[in-house]
Amino acid sequence: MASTCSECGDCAVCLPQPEARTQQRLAALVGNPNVGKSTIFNALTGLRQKVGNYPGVTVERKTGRLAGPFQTDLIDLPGAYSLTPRSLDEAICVDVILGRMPSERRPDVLAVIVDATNLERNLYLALQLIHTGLPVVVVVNMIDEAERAGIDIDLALLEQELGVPVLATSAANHRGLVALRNRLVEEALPVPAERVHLAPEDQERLRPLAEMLRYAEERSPAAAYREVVEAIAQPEAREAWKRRSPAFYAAVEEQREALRAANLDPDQYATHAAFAYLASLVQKAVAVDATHAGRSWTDAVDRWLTHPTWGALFFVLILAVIFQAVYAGAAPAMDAIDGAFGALGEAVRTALPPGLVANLLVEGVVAGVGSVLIFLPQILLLFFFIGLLEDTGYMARAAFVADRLMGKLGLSGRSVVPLVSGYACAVPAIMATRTIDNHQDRLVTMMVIPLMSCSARLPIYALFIAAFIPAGAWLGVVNYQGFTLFALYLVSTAMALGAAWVLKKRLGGGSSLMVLELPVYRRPNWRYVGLRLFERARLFVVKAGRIIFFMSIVLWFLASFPEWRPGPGEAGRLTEEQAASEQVRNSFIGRAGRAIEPVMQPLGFDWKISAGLITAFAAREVLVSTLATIYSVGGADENSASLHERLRSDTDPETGARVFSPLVAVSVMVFFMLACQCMSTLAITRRETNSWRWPAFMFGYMTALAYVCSLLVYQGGLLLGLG
Amino acid sequence: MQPDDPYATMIPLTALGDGASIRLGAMTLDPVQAGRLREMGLCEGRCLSVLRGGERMIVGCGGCRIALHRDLAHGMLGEVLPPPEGAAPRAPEKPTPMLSRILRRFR
Repeated sequence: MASTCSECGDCAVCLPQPEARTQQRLAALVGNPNVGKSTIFNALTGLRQKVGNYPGVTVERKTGRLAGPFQTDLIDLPGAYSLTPRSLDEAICVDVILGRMPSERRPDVLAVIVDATNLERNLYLALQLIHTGLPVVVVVNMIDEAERAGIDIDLALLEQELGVPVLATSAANHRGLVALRNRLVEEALPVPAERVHLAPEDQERLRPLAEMLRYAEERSPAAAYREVVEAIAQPEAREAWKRRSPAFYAAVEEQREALRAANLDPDQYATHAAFAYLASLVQKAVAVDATHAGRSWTDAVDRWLTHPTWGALFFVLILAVIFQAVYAGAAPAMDAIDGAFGALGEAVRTALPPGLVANLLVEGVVAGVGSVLIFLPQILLLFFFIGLLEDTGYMARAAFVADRLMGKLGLSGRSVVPLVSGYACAVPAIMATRTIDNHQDRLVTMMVIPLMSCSARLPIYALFIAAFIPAGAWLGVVNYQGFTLFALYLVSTAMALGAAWVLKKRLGGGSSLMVLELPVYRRPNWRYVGLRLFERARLFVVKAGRIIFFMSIVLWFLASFPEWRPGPGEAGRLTEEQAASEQVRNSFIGRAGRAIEPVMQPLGFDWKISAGLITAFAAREVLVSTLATIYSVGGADENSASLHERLRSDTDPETGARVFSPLVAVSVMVFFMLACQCMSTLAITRRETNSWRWPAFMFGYMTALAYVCSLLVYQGGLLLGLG
Repeated sequence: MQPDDPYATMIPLTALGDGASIRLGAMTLDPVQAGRLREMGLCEGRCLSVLRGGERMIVGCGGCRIALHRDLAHGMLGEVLPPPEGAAPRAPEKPTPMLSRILRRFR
């Protein structure tokens, strides 16, 4: 079925063929964006998933396993509209399908997911995939939505015309998934049958050329027609025919002239012919009940949510509600975790004899890990809301509404989704920029994403807000602490947009004009929402269990050694608390903090915060565990009254002045809001840009911005008498 | 206008009001942009309806909605289609409320 190689170097024959069938099979889910690939993937694989990256790039690679006579790995490929990639993730999808991805097996079978409510457009990619010669199953998903819309699809006719098995599914309701799984794991692979995929008028138009190939080159009718279309539309194919068969080449050139005369662009003929065929196919195979016609509720909702004014207001309102909910909704669960770690610390201290090991476990491990794990509820709530915006289809509307603003900054609406994802974590957000086809836009978006306040900043905000912002509510509704959090997010967003404007001015280059598909609004599938949150929680706990656990031990060591001994006469004078303070001050971490203190003092930072800046370079949230360790409040965490009180009551032993005032707290939050204190972000930027130049620039400009803004806040506040 | 001008009877998508439809006849756009639009289903011969006009338009095509910048929509030409039989004429947009007008001035 694969077309014969015409020395193009880019056809199904030239490319690596699937490996010899073994007991291990690789199936790939392919389709346009928003057709439910991930829902089907989750439904088929459940928790048997592995998330990784493709070698050399950071595009997420999700695989799972299907049980059956052939052990089958299922891979969820990024969405694509065609085999002509326009963005990085589309390129990955195409490279995997065509076997061009290094160290990635070419799939043995493709499950092409198409949207039942939009068959014509979706089948275009399916047609291209059928022509690769790989075994294909066409999966008509969202069949329930089509039925509700009065769309009746003749699956048998589609199967007959396309020459491949066609199944109907509704992934959200688990309908048809068993049949799909059986198709992918059963012994016989669905190799496409020979079919001419051209509309009758195109078949008529190309018949003389196809006959030439059939008899002179001994092609099957389907292969002959396909090669004729390729010869008309692809210059490389024409060049090959020019050398091989001048008569056929001349006939192709004649046909190109005839197409021009008919107002058709011969270079675009392949797309035109495919859509003409699909239009005729859909006309035969799909019946629409006219009584269901009319404006859908998606259109009705869009009338408001995509409105230039009301849509923008709704976007701001929804962000405000999310941040209020993140702060208020997570409190009970945070209190529970706080209590559990407090009890655990007490239990460990009771169980072990006093000494180095007990101190290490209670003050280092329990305090350090507990101080970060307590933020799990807030982080999960943030991911829950961002996931909800994506699942319901609202995120694309946010991009549409924001395109006007982004256009003023020189970017396009496509930058909005990665920017909003930056509220959760900069790493996947930077990966999400691969959907931006304009290189300059992608680079600028990547550079400003770390300015969006990510979830790792939450522990720092939460610590200082809880310590220095009153807990009341304005009119009993707007929580002061929640509002402060919202204001921090608002300012960080404004800074990111401002930085984007400046960078775009400096980098230059035009911006691509917005083309964006708006999916229909859908009710989220709560099972998959839960699955995603579970995965996110697992990653966070593993991170806390590894990095934070390790860092807590290191921090405890750095804060405990070298051991400080009071001088003669001092031993009796110092209280236990003062002695502990002297110990930390003279420890390794204290010395490091004091070394950079002169540079950080203009921002209001003492040596303890300065020491936290050093340790928090690995991950921002480590600042909290650093302060917890420095203040030696074993068992206390950032939400416990003792650490808050310590922060509020801490005084400089020399001047007697308070170390933390609300002004210093704001200065610290501003610094962490703008500084690039995250090794993972820098590493991902290095991988995405394939250069050290951009991560170095990102770190440099963000650190400078953080320093200057923090300096302005602190010194300005002092001038206004707020210190 | 040339007598054999293929675009003589076509109008750009931007000339349509909300709810109106055209059959796409030609695209006078950069080939790369035109290629992407075709792959997204906005190709010659298909019916497109304007769901929302303005600087950023929303165009309905088959079962999907595509948001487009006006500059792209301006390069998409076609022949106006009559409204479907029995379709009630679309109610005219209500006058813009005061708050919208104020906010628009700020923008």
